[in-house]
Amino acid sequence: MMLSERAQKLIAQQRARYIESMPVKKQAIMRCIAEFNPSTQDGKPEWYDDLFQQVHRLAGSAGSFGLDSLGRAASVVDRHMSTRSFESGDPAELLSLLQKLIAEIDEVIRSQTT
Amino acid sequence: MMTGISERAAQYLREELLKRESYTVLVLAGDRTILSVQESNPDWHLAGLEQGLTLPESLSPLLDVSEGAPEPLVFPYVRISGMVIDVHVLQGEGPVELVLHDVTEAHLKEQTLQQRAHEISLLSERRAVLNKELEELNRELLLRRQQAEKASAAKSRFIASMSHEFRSPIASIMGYADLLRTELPDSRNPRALQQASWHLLTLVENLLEQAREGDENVSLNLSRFSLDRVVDDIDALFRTQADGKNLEFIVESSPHGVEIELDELRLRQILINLISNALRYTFAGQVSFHAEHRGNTLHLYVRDTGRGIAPLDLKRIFEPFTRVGEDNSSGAGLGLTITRQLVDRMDGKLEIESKPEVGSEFHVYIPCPRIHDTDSEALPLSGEVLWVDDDQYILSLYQVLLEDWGLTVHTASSVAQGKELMKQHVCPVVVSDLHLTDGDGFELLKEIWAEWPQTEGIIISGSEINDLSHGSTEKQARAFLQKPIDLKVLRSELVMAFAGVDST
Repeated sequence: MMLSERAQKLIAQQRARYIESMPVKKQAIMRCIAEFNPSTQDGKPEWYDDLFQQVHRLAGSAGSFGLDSLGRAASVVDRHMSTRSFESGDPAELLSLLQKLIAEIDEVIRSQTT
Repeated sequence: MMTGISERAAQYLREELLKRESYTVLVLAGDRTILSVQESNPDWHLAGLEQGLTLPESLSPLLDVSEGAPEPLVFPYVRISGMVIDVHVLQGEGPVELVLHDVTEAHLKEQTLQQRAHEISLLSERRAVLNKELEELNRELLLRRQQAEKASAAKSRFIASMSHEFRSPIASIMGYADLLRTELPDSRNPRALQQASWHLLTLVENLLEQAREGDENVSLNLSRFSLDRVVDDIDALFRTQADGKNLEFIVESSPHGVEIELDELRLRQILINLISNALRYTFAGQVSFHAEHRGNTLHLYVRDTGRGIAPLDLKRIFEPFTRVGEDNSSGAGLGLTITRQLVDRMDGKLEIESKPEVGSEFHVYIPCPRIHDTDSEALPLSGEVLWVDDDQYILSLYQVLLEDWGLTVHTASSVAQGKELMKQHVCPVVVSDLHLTDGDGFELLKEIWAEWPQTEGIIISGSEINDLSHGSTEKQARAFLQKPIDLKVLRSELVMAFAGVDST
């Protein structure tokens, strides 16, 4: 798809800004993981819907900025969360998927800083 | 004199009546000797009643009974000489007279009528008994039918419920396989895992399809996808199986680079059902699959050199749970039944040619216009677009892209803001994310269509839900695009959306 030089430049700037926002996105997800204690959890926690929103946005946006691997990892979590309720899901499986997602975010941050 | 009529008329009637009747009038002496016999006509004669003879024993008791009676007496149905006679005894002054009136015929008629009435009465009773038995049988039949329907509905619900339960773990396996592909890019195993998951998903979908047979509300989930990708996946899915049976497995598609709009899962179901069948019943030679997009139709050919199908069996291979011939092959016998249902639902056709011991060819053709016949990059774009997404990064990115293509873009981050901007700019094309913080893209489109029905809508989402009808609304979004959006597809959709708007 041919784009003008100006558009390419603007998109490159937006991509940079998007990648710069990764630490904030990671923090938001980490906060959820930290608060997540399946043994004491009774019912759906307040942050669950926020987490889903975060993951869903990542799934939708990462690929658009060329971060395909991150997009796929977020899609896996998105699909996991959208196909079952908090109560019917396996907390250990969700945590495992979130950790893989965090690893992908770290990878994006690392590739930017090196 | 008779009441109401003249003596002359009465006399006439008496004479006429006497002419028609058969009777005998006897005049008796005091010792019951017959003084005179007067008969109505020469053919009518009762044996033993002759002038000078004594009244026979059969009539004598009647006189005993009626002796001294002031009024005439009638003794009906007295049997004399094989006939039935009414005997009228006239007494008083002068000799006793007996009028013997033949009523044999009338009596027979009455007897017949009585017999009929009795028979009718018996039949009515029998009918009442049968009706009662019929009512009981009907009640039992209804009860059994209700029980059978209840059991069938429970079975369908169970199958549907279990199939739904299976979907989630399969989706999870597919997700993990996807992750593994990124972690192990050089390994074939993750892809094999993903293809096997497709196969498993097809089997589950077959069950679901069977469970909801007859449900008219099942809709197709249309999406746009590459035909090459599906063909490649089919090749990868079955090649190992074909190699394992030493079969030549040929997979072709023409032309390459075609994008189509169909229910991808249902298409894969059709192909997996047909090709797995061909491989199951072919023990030597080859199995081939050829996908060809011609005109506005997708043609799928699955050929094999298997044992073929006998002409009589061709009629019943589409019946559920049917496997023709003698073999120990696995499978529920649902594949072809489901395949035909799916092809019908896609308004397509399925044809079979088969010769026993030679092989079979299944030809499916489905109406399906090609999406990218022209290179949309060459077509100009202009106009206003409303883009709604709650992700600011996405909004900024696509604003730049669309403006670079020549469009004016208005961006909103919520349903409420989208509606407000629509009032200000009345954009002919609206692109909206599916999941928004204050609602969803379909709701937004429905509200916009209520006021501006010509608006073209495109839904985008990171999720895989692609039911464009989304409920009972008559108008549908023209496309569902999954993020990350293929820019070529997006541009093509926008070109067509604006063309659609202009043409109305």
